[in-house]
Amino acid sequence: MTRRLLMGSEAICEGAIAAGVRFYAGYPITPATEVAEFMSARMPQVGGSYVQMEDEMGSFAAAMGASCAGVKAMTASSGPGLALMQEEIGHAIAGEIPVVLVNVGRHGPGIGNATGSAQMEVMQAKYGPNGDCPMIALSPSTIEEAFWLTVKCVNLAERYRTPTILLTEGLLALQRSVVDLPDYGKVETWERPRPEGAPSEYANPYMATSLTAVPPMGDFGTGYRSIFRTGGIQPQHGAKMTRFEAQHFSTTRLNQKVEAHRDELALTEALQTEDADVLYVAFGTQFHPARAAMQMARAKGIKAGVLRLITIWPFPDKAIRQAAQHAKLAVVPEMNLGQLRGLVTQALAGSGIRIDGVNHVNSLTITPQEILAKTEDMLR
Amino acid sequence: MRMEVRFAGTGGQGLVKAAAVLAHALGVEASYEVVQTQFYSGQISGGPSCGDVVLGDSAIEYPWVMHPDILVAMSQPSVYDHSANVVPGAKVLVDDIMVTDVATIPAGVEIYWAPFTRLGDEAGFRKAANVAALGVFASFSGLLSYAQIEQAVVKLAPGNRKINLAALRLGFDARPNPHVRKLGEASAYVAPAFRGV
Repeated sequence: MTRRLLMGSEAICEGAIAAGVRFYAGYPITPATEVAEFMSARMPQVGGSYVQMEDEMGSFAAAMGASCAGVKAMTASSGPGLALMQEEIGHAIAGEIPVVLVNVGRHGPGIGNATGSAQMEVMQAKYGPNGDCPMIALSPSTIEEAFWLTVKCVNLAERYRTPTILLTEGLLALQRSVVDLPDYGKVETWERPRPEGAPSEYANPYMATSLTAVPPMGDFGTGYRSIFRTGGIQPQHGAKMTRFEAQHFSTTRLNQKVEAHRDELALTEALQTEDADVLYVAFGTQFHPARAAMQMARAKGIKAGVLRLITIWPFPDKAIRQAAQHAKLAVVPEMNLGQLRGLVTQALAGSGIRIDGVNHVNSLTITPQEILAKTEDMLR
Repeated sequence: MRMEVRFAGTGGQGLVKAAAVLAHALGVEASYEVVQTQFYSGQISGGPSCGDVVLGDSAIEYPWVMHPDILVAMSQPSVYDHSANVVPGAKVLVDDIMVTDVATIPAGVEIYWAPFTRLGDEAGFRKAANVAALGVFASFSGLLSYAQIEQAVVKLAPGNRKINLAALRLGFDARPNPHVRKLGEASAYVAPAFRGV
């Protein structure tokens, strides 16, 4: 273990390196530039490659290419860059190519305020690409967690052969804190399924017989047959099917291979929710004011609890219903105009729980006082 | 124990860097828990900017500065911008040539004039004023020994090491002058709780 002062972006890079990422392609954008900056220094040190690309689309495409060649690959951007990358994200989903994307949230829409932090990509992360897409998106609240969730993003991308997003914010990526870094040799890393038999026995990287299967993927150049990864759906199957059945099967499988593991993927942290009359649901940096508001509310005799969402996608609706068992009202503090609140409302539909939000789009963190004031207002 | 420190001034004065060096000194050279955050505008330089450090002896639950216990103000606009956030009991160190008006700082807040910029000049480079401020902060707050802040400056501060260390030494040995308020000078305005950048 080494004790170091790390910037959030640096912790993300170190987590990626610990998880085995050896390729980074990126294009600078505030506030994600630091990720590229650190990677440009670190990749050569660990025997990896860093490529400064011409734009965000090129960055994601380069990461896909490296991944196809068998290297764990990552890129990073912020809202406007994420918007540009949507085509490639959909491509990676359809082509089942593991890539880790770090999104450092900033104010929008459009160019917005570049130096202003926000949590405005909750929905874009999942619904940005066209088509029915599975998505795994995790959101850290502290710098130490940024390290570990990046490791997890890399591992999940590999295991499920799908792009994953680390959904973070300018407020966290540019924050510094002292972190005890583990010995990287001891960090658990997962590999993508690779073909085991002889190349002549290997059909292609999309041949699956069950709806939850993640087919083995041969690295480019190793002799295993690779279908050109055009982003077109590959209607491959182990049984005899019509073309239409195969398309249905493959599209469903892309989603089911992630959806079938929803319970183990949907990570949350519950604080004093067992007896909570008031439930705060928060993620990322806005967990901190929610927790402080919970402590202030408890001191005033209001039974408040916090459910922190570590996983944003697949959305942890079961955990929300569980945490809201005794709740009469729920408050969702977030740095956007209610994207998470909409999802919480959906998860708690029919429960009769009143739901409201505290929303900041001025790039300043929400204060515990504002959350408490909203709570008292709703209790009145 | 929780303590909030803010270096405020104008973009280009090295305020975020000063906060990062201080966070390293406190968190790695000493053994405090620290979180360092920052605020700056989209301007390359010349806009409002500040570097913040929250320190404590247990894990920092709330990472942002709400009311700085020590505010280091390196420019006149920064005094105006942050006066509303300091509350009675806090200490404000103001640059003695960049700042002339401290009347907006509320009553009950101790004000000290410190020669940050002049010490940077004396060390040979005005932009080393932030390193001088680190020296002043270390001895003024009593939180860090000279060796601890020196280690952090050597490891993290960019630029000419000789000038940096000269500025640090000058700052560490400087004694800020307490400000004597004229009658009615202090602002009657006291910040509502939890106003932070």
